[in-house]
Amino acid sequence: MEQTDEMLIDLMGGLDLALLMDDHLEADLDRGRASWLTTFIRERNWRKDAGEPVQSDCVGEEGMIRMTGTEKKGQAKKKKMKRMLPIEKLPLSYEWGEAIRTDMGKRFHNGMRNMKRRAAALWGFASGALTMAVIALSFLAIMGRKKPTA
Amino acid sequence: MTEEDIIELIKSQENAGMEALADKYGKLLSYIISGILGKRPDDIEECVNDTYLKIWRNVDNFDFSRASLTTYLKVIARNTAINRLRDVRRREEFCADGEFAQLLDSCADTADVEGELLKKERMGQINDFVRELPKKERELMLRRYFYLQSSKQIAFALGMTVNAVDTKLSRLRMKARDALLAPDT
Repeated sequence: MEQTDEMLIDLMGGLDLALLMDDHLEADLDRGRASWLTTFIRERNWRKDAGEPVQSDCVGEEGMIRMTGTEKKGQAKKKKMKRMLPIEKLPLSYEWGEAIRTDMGKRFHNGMRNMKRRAAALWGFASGALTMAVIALSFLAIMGRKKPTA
Repeated sequence: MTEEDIIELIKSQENAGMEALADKYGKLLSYIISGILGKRPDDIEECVNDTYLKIWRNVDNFDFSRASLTTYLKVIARNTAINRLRDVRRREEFCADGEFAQLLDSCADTADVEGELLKKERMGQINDFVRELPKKERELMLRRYFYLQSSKQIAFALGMTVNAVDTKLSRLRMKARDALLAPDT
C-alpha cells in the first residue's frame, strides 16, 4: 500500500494543469468556525462519549429508522411514515440523531439549569439594588423634608 | 486587481505586482504549503517567498492561456513545499511527523533514461485516470496525493467523516494501482 502511495505522490507531480483548475482549494479558506463546529460534532463518537451502551449494531441511516420506530410505540402512524421515508431524504444521519438524543440533551439541560441560576442571581441582585435605592431615596426625602422645618 | 493586471505588473518588473500577488494569494499559498510542511512556520514563510520569487523570475515562461496564475502558483507552491520537506528531513533527521514524510524520502527521482521514460508513461496513465474520475473522487485524489493533505483536513474540507475519507481513498488507491499496472490497450 505504501508503495502505491509513494508512486502516486511522485506521479501526481506531473499532473495536467487543466485538472487542477477545479480543485476548490480557495473555498477552504472561506470556511469559518461554523464548519469547524459541524466537523467537530460529526467526528465525535457520541454514543461512546455519553458512556451509554450501544443498543444496536446497525450503523447508518437504517439504524436511525429502526430505532425511532421502536422507541415511539404509541405513535404508529408517525412510525410508519418515518420508515417509509427514503434514506436519502432523511435530513439527519444516525449519528446526528444520537447526538441530539444523548449529549446535546444533557448539554441543553445543563445550560438551562445554569441559565436559571444566573437569572435567579440577577433577579436577586436587581431586587436588592432596588430595595437599597428605595431606602436611600426615602432617607433623602425624609432628610430633605426635615431641613426646611428646622 | 485581476490576475491579468498582476501578471502585467510582474512582467514589467514592478514591485506593486508582487505586493498584489502577496495580498491576493498569500493565504492560499500558506494554506497549501502548511498542508505539506505541517507546523513549521519559518519554512512555510520561506516556501511562500520562494514561490513568489519563482513567479517573478519565470513569469515570461508561463503560458497563461493554458492555465491561470492561480494554478501555476498552486503547482509551484506544492513542488517547492515538497522539496523543502525533503531538505528539512535530511537536515534535521527527525522522525516522521506528517503522514507522507516517510514516504517522500523514498520517492527518489529516477536518474536513468529508462526510468524517466517509464515515469513519463505512468504520468500519462495517471493523468488519464484522474481525468476519468468523478468530480468528488478527483478532488479526493488531488487533495491527498497532490496537496498531501491529511485525512482530517480532507474530511473537514469536503464535509465527510475521516473514516469515509480513508475508505474512499483506499478504494481509489486500489483503482489507481490497477490502472497503472494494467497492460496498454
